[in-house]
Amino acid sequence: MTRRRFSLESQERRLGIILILPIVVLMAGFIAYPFAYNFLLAFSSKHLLSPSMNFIGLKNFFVLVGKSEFWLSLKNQIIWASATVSLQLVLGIGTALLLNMEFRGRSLARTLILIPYVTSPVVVALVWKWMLNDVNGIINYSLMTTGIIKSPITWLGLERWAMPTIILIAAWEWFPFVTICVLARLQTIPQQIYEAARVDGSSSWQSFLHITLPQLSSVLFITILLRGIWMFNKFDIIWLLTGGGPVRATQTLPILSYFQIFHSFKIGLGAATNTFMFLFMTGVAIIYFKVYKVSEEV
Amino acid sequence: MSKKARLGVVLVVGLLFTGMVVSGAFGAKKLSLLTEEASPEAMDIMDRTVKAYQAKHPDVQIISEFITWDEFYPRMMASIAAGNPPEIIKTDVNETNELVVKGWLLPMTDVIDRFGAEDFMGYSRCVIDGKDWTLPVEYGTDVLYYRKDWFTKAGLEAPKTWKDWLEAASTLTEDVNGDGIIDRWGQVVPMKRTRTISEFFLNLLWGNGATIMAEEEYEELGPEDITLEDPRTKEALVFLKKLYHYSPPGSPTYSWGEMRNVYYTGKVAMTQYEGRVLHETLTYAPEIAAVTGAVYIPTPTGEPGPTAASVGGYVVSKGCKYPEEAKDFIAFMATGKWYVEFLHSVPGHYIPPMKSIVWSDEYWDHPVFKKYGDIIKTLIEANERGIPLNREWRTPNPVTSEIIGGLVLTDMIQDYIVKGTPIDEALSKCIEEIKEHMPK
Amino acid sequence: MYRKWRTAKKFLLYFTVVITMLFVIFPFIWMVLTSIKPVETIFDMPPEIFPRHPTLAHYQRLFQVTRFPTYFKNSLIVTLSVVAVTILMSTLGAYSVTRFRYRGRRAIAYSSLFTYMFPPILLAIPLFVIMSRLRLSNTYYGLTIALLTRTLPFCLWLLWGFFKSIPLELEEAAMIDGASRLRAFWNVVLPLALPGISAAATFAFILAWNNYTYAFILMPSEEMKVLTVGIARFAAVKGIEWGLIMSSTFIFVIPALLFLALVQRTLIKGWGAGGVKG
Repeated sequence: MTRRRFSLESQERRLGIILILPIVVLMAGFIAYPFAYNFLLAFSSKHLLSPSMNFIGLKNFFVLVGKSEFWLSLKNQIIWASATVSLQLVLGIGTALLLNMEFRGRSLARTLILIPYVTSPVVVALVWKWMLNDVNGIINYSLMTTGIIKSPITWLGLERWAMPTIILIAAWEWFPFVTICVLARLQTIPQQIYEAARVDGSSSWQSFLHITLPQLSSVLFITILLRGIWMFNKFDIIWLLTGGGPVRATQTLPILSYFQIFHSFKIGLGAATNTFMFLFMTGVAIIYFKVYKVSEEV
Repeated sequence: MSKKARLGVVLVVGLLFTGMVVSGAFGAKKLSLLTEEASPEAMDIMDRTVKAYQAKHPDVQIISEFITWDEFYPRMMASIAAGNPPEIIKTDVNETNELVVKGWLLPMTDVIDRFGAEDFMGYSRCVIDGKDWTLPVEYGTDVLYYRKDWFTKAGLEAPKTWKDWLEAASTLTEDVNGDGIIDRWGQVVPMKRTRTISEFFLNLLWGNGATIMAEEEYEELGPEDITLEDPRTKEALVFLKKLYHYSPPGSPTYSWGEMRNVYYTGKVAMTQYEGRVLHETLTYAPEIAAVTGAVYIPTPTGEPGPTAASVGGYVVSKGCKYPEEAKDFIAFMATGKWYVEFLHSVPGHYIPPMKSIVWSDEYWDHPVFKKYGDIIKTLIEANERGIPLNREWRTPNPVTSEIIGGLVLTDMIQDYIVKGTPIDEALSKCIEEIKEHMPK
Repeated sequence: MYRKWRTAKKFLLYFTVVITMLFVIFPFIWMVLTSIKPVETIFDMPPEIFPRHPTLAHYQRLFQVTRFPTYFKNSLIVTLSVVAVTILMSTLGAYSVTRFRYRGRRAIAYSSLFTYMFPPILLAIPLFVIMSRLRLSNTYYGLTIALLTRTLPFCLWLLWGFFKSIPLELEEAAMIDGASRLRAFWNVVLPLALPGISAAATFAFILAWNNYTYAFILMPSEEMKVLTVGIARFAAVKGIEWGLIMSSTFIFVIPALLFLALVQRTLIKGWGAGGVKG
């Protein structure tokens, strides 16, 4: 048996490499090359419409950190990413627990809950804009008839409300991703563990704390990582909902770099912004890996 | 059998890649066309024009692409970086100026000569270094639209001076249905972070006799030429802030589209823009169109002043493989039946810059022109004072359009009006930003 | 007393489920209701919740006036290609990293997720340059390849976890019985991997069907435009025609819903394995 396994794994190494090769080539060609190109731009001065490109070292980065707009965008982006990911986690875990219970129509509910996630940001932005419309919107109308607000609120037009609103919309769109990840894991936890705990007299809250959460640890680790990366880099939904406004209340770094490149024509500066984002996120990811490992051991 | 598996993989990968390579090449003289006009009307007429031209010239194939203005630069940039910009581009003269300076275009003097250079109105041509670079096909200047019915009811006259304008805006902002919430506003001021508000502001700035910079050759422009630091600039800003007070609460999310929407949904009494307002009001709310009037943009004195205009025209990019065919097709689009059909697709918005056409019977032979002749006439006559954004001093200067495109003015306006930054601080920050765009 | 408590608990459960479901699908209900309202009543205030005179006029206009059918076809072609190639490549890739031993196989599986660190907006323009040089811009191939770079890392990682959970012994047994590797893969591994594959397919489908940024940069010409770009464009141009816009978004969502219904049974099971063992 062991000999056979050995042969299965080590022979035909070439076949194994051939099978993975298409993925590696694709990734190298279409991710690594664009990244290198962008990296080069970040150290150059280049006007959007001119072909010439001059190496200027770190100057773009100095210009960048010298602008208050940059720090504001970074702050916005951190608020945006952390708030919407947290909200997605809360909603995702909550709904996963709910959908793990026994009730009639459960499989229908499990399908329905995925609908926001399968919907394009383009559609999500349009539908929510329609519902949030300042004068004819259903949301303002319902809030007014129930007496929660007195006059219509321009949710996406006020500096105070724009950020919370887009955070909520993004949470609504992407929490189902967390739901399926967690739900899938929940289903593999053997029921006997819970029964044993019940016999020992622990309440359902205690079971959740001592059995469910630890079991979810690994799936949450990867879910937070992925959602964190994806939300931090998000461009489309913010762009489609507010375009970074009002004034700059929802402007994050991807939006800033878009303006730098396509409005101010400073493509080198825009590339520097993107490169900064990449480095920042790599740093956060490293810390995240370390911290999670530590808490895992404890 | 594992050989078979290996073979299978190689085949699949191989197929994928050969498929890609093969799909690239065909024959025929292909010309790509990019246009900023993405409205269904414009797309329809373009399609039919292309078909008609291809029927006459079967060796030419035109591949058109319609994008909205917001998407223009991403598309241009991507294709320029890839070394193959679209061969024919319909774009505004401001962008044309930028493209000329960066050396992306072919001269169009020969096409202009076909039409006769003296036939083109005002500042519609784009002449740089003694050559023409675009064939202008539409010329539009901002006017102020207003609700005649509400004005009459409130005993107001069509505004001429800033004072009239403000008074009308204030009077007409009211709670019409009496539920304690204001539901009608006097004037829409589109405050989204786009160039819309910059252009709105330019009308006030120029109308008050101020400019962004002094007259100078492009290469000679330097920081000392910025003329914004002027009491008249501040007057214009203060006036805009007062006007903004009478704009709907959603204004920070409004750009071009929303600005027109609020007018033809009957939420505001006044809006400024070009002919498209009339067209859309007619389409969506004919009853409002019937009570709509149009006047020149008011100025402090009441004497009509220079006003922001847009000039749309066709350019040919340098890398074009078939420049003669491209130019021939452009001329075809701007001649005879097809041109008039294009102009009529959004009546009043597409105003021909050619003097021989603008007052011609063919052009005026349209039901909208008969019924709304006075508005159309105002729109056409406004062109005499219409100044493209790159021609503040009448000589083409791409820096102005770069500043407007870079949202430098928009940021200043938003800082002062929405955020409440002191006027001097907002202004000096803006001037610092402009310095970065100066060639010297 | 106990029974009462149980009924209350049950009621609470169903109440929570209904509220959650409403929160999730209300925007879609509102979308459909708006899409069948006649133009005159769309802006009514107070809004009419259920249209008294429902109409399909917007749908009719959608197919007559706009180029919706073309966009739809393009979206479908690209999406199905992306799903097919993603499944093919990531299944073989996952099989490779779990069944063969060579240097760097773990690194490949781990680093695949690392590629998500690159902001898509950063990659869009260089991608366009490459695609143009390869003469692939404005072709189905170009966009398909670009989207593969977004789907493959997650799918490979998902299936990697899944394949690890399929015991090697089953294959070995089959091979001892004289089956070839291909046959063992086909008859033993693949059926067991099906839930994982359907989860990967779902991910790929969602990403490809809904992508905007790459589609906008890589498929600009009118004949090749996909739905996301098409809808965003005509929503920008026809900002006021909410009935028309909502009818287009509704039809846009339908294929995604059908796909979801198709894979629904195996989806959650498949999604699990990767996440769990990762």
